[in-house]
Amino acid sequence: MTPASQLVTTAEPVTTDPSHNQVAVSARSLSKTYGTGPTAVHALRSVNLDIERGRFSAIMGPSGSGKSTLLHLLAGLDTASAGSVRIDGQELGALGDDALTRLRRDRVGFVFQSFNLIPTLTAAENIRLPLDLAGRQPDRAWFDYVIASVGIADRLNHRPSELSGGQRQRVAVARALVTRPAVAFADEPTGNLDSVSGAEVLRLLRDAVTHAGQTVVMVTHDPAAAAHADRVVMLADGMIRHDLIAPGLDAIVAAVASGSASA
Amino acid sequence: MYTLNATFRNLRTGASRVWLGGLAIALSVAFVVAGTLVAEASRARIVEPALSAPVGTTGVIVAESGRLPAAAAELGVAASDRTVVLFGPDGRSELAGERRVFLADGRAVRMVSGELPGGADEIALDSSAAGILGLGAGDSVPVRTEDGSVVVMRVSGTVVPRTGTTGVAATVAGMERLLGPGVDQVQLRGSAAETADAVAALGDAVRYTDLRGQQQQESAQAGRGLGVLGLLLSTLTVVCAVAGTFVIANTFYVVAAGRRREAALLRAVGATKSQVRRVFAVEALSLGTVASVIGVVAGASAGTLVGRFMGFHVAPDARLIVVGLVLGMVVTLAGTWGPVRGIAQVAPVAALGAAELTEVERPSQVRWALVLPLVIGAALAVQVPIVGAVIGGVLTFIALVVLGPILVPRIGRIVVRGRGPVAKLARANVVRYPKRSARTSVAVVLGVALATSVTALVTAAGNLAELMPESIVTVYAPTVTTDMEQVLSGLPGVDSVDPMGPSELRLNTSPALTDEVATEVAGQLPNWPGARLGTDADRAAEYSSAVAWITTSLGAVAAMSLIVGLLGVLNTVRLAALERRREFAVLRAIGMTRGQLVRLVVREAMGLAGIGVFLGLVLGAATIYGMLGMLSLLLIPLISWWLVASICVAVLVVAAVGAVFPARAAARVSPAYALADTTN
Ligand SMILES: Nc1ncnc2c1ncn2[C@@H]1O[C@H](COP(=O)(O)OP(=O)(O)O)[C@@H](O)[C@H]1O
Ligand SMILES: [Mg+2]
Repeated sequence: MTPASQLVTTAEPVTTDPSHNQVAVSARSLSKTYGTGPTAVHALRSVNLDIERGRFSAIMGPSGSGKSTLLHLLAGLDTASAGSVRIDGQELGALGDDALTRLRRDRVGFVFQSFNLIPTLTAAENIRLPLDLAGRQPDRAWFDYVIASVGIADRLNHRPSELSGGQRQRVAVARALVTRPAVAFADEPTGNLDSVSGAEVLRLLRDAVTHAGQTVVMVTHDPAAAAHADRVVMLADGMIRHDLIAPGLDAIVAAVASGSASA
Repeated sequence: MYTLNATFRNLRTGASRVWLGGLAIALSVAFVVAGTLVAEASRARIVEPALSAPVGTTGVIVAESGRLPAAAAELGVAASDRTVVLFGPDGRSELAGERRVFLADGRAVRMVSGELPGGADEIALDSSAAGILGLGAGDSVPVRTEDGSVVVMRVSGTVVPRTGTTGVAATVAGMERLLGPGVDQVQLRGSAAETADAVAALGDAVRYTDLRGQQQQESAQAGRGLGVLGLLLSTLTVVCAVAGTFVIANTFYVVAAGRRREAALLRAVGATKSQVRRVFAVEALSLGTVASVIGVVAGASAGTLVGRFMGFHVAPDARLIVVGLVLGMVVTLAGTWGPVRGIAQVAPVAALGAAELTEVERPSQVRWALVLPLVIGAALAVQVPIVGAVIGGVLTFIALVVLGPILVPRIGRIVVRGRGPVAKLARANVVRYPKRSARTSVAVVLGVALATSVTALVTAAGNLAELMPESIVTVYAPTVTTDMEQVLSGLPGVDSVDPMGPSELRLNTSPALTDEVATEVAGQLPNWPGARLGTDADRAAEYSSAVAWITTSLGAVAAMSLIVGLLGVLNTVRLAALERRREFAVLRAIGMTRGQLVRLVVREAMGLAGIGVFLGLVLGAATIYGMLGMLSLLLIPLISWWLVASICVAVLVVAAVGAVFPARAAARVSPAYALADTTN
């Protein structure tokens, strides 16, 4: 940790939930600026955030507020302009590309808005892919749990094109969880789904947290989706505007309204 | 309207995507142009003097006794079978060694540049000697005369003599200056009408031979050489055209697939099919035009360089330029017709479809049915010798092209081996678009098939030398004279006599009479000092040099096809990498290292090349079988497997090494791109 970020850490309170002190992902003074000079866009402005282990966190905010940027940085997909990110205690800034890739492979899972299954692989192969890439054997019991949770035992040998959107996204969730990651990130996972399929996917994520102790961070526009989370972080203009613990749908809607009113 | 224009602009393929396809067209055109130039130049050297009207020479007169009448000496160029020695321009080094004087004995010189010699101090040089000595019309050349002194002659121009000879031509006065008195032959210049009277005036003092009549006879004989050459040139043209067509077709199919949504969007907002089509058609035509021009220029330059290096006189003409341009445009049209039509067929509603990673293609099994008649046709065709083999080969090739998309998934699983995740993904990607993979492999298939047949031919040639036609008796002499020809063609059992060069005559007989004719000829030989009968060794040498010429040429065609084919493999891999940017980003995001991604793309390239190699070996084996029939069963153990294996390995290695560049570019994609909301 650099002296500068330590200074900032003491200067600003860290948004964290005191009841959970075991942290899966932490961000300190995290900033991201696109471009330079007068046209520079400050997508993130010195964000401090701790994501607790074994919890379901949601990130919300109006379009352009920096949600995707935050997700990219927390997941080690992009590099910060300033500040630091730690996953499982490992400082990302110190890692080269291969080490960062291995970290993503072993300790991070992803669920994308547009599923992003590999079309040439069957559902089962897609789920196993992160393990295959690592050359690892699955933990049998965990693997069975993940497969069972997808609920498409009869279609595991089908290609993605032969699955419905909801089925595809459930396969994607299984792929994200198969390595038992320190954290799974989901970017608008219900954005391309009908409400029934969306609810199933949310239940799957919720169950992974509640029953299997997984850590999930989800970016979403949808207050109803966010209502499944244990915690909702609201961004505006690249800064954390609200940090709500287990808010109900009403509280989320109210916070969204206040956020857009102030924006 | 502004936005619509912008969308139309978006629809364009983008030069960065299609330039490799353009390069394939240019290369195909260049190969054909260069190949034709070199081949025709070599033909000019080998058979053309007999084919084309000998410039400045209409006939030859030979003194019946002793010296030529003075009047005859004025009529043309002297010739002799004695030698002169030319020196380099510095007058000291014997660069060219001994050079035989041109033989006028019924044979013609062809002017290449400058004029035939006009005065006693002028000399026309053989063009290759002139090239070696660095001389042209107007230069001076020191020549050693028969008595050992050196005289300086002016070069009036350059000529091409017949096979294997080099020589000079001079006026009778000039020749006597070099060789002393005794010139007894003159090649006439001027038109037949002009010389006829003059020759008539000379009466019985000279014997006159009309070269025109002889020329017709020689043309017929040279036609055989032309047949082989023509076959080689058509093979070259067809192979290059087919190879180029499939590469450019693939380019546009892939680009069109990537632009489907935009095309659908345009259709949805009211663009007509032809408007959408036009965007692509205009681009295809511009690319074709530019590529054809580049190909013609590159081919003409390369052909001229190579031809000159080989000592031929090479001159690209307008006809060749037109042929090159037309070929390039035909290849472009044939290759882009399908995809350009296809892009406009897209349903407007496709614009609304979800953005997904591109799906997997399933070719129809109906193709099996189409192949049956082709295979039957091929099987029937090969019953007819030579022509049938060619037709059979073409039909088999078409059958393979039709079957390709169905075979690709099976072959892909054979050629991309390994159990790791990279091998598994590479295998899946190689068979993902069977049509595309099949199109990609076509040029490699042709190259490998040709190469295999050629190596088999080389091996076979050694064993088949005994099978050379028995119906020919060959006579060698230091100088073949018209006398000899007349005497030999008068012998019983001799059907015809073909002069094969300045010192070789070929007597065609019926096989049954060969031995008798040989005995008769042997009886005549003492009349001509130095003359002898051709032996089996001569025949074998001649046969193997003919085989070497054919195999070298076919080998060159195979190499060209392989070059275009490898370019096509890299083109496909590169386009696929661009097309799959998002998929690669996903793989990177979920834990594929850059190294693994590079290996994935490289293995895909090797897989595509491997499919080509596999099918090429099949087609090659089928071709050998078709050409040699049952014999091939005996020959299969003789196929040079080492050579074939080296070619295949080389193809795979080049594909792998070449793919490193697009692979590294692909591996640079940011994993964050996987989360982007856009399709591309
Ligand atoms: N690659 C980029 N280049 C330039 N600006 C960007 C880039 N990505 C995002 N931005 C800008 O950063 C800000 C935050 O974007 P983003 O994180 O995508 O917001 P959100 O996901 O909340 O909509 C926006 O103003 C956006 O325009
Ligand atoms: Mg976003």
